[in-house]
Amino acid sequence: MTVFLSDKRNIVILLLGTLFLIKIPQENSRFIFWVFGGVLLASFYDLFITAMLKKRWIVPKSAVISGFILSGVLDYYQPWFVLVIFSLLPILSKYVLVFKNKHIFNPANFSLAVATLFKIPLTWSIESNACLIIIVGLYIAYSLRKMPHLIGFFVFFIGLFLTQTTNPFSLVSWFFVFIMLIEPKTSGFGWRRGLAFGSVAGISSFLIFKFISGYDFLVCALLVANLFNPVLEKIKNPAEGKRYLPREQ
Amino acid sequence: MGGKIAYKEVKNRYNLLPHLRVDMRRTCFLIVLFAVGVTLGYGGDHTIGAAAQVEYDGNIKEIRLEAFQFGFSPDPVVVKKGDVVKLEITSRDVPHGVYIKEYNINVPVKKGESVKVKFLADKEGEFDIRCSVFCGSGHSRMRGRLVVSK
Repeated sequence: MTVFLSDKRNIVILLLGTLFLIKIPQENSRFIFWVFGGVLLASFYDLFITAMLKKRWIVPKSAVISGFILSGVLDYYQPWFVLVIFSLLPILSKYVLVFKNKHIFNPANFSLAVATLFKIPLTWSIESNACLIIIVGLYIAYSLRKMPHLIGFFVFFIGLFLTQTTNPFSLVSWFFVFIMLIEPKTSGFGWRRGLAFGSVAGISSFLIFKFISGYDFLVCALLVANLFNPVLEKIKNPAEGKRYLPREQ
Repeated sequence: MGGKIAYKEVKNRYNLLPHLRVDMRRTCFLIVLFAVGVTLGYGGDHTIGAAAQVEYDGNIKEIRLEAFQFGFSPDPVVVKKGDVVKLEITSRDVPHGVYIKEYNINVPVKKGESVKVKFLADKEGEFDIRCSVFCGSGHSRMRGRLVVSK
């Protein structure tokens, strides 16, 4: 059990599965098939591509997470071919858009950003229990050393929205903050990079909300922050490579 | 010697991001996928559905629909089958989107703006009105009803 939970991806999968189960009574059967379909398709694509490229079979945990996020956020009344295409995009973005052997974009977010640019509604149906997301999310953020990202994001998000007399806490998506923003591989490690990454996401979310409404401002903000990754890579962290590894359990 | 320098200069000119590896074939595949999506109608305007091409035989019903965190007013919106429904949509607080899947309606609306949508209520039943633009922590629960009765 300890070994199982030491891989944070397992915890995220458990969290997403629980959020999905909590939401089922409020939705219809299409939601169940839609989310299952998204998870299965993303896993299948990932298995297939890794088998082709690396000639080995790897359990597609990241693809399961991407599938859950994508299908849980995307409007489930869309035609099935939308799910088929948009569950392929995270996997393709992971293997195609690469910088120093790491993917630039949060895979699920990349697909959702494309969806919102094409005006496909994002209904965030899977965001079912904020308390659960915050509690488990804080643990994951602490374990993965992603607290600077949260601090950077919230400082600017809260500060800028308060200038508009808008309650920032009624606007924030806890699912976005604790599951999507702190994705390990695309958000950078270390205090300085983390603060910078979170700040870029916070500022972008405000600017998109204020000036380009009609698009999902959080998803677009994370896409913008991901675009800054090559620049953020240049920020040096003290004792790089040692202090900023995920905490051991 | 001079030739080598010239080669280096040319190489650097076209290799501005030396660490960014983009496989062109896969990128083209991605672009084709987007194009398929656009062709199938997902880049288009969804404000007015099939209503524009159908002859109207009912009454014209004008309704002011206000979106707010996290609901719609009035709720439910009740019309009769055959009515021509003119919605004047406004937002009370933050940007919202009014999305009625069955009538192919998906319009964003900002605070202080009003958006007009016209459609023929030709399908009987109860339909969800959902928000299509993320508007906060209750976005996923934000729902109204469109009731089209006989």
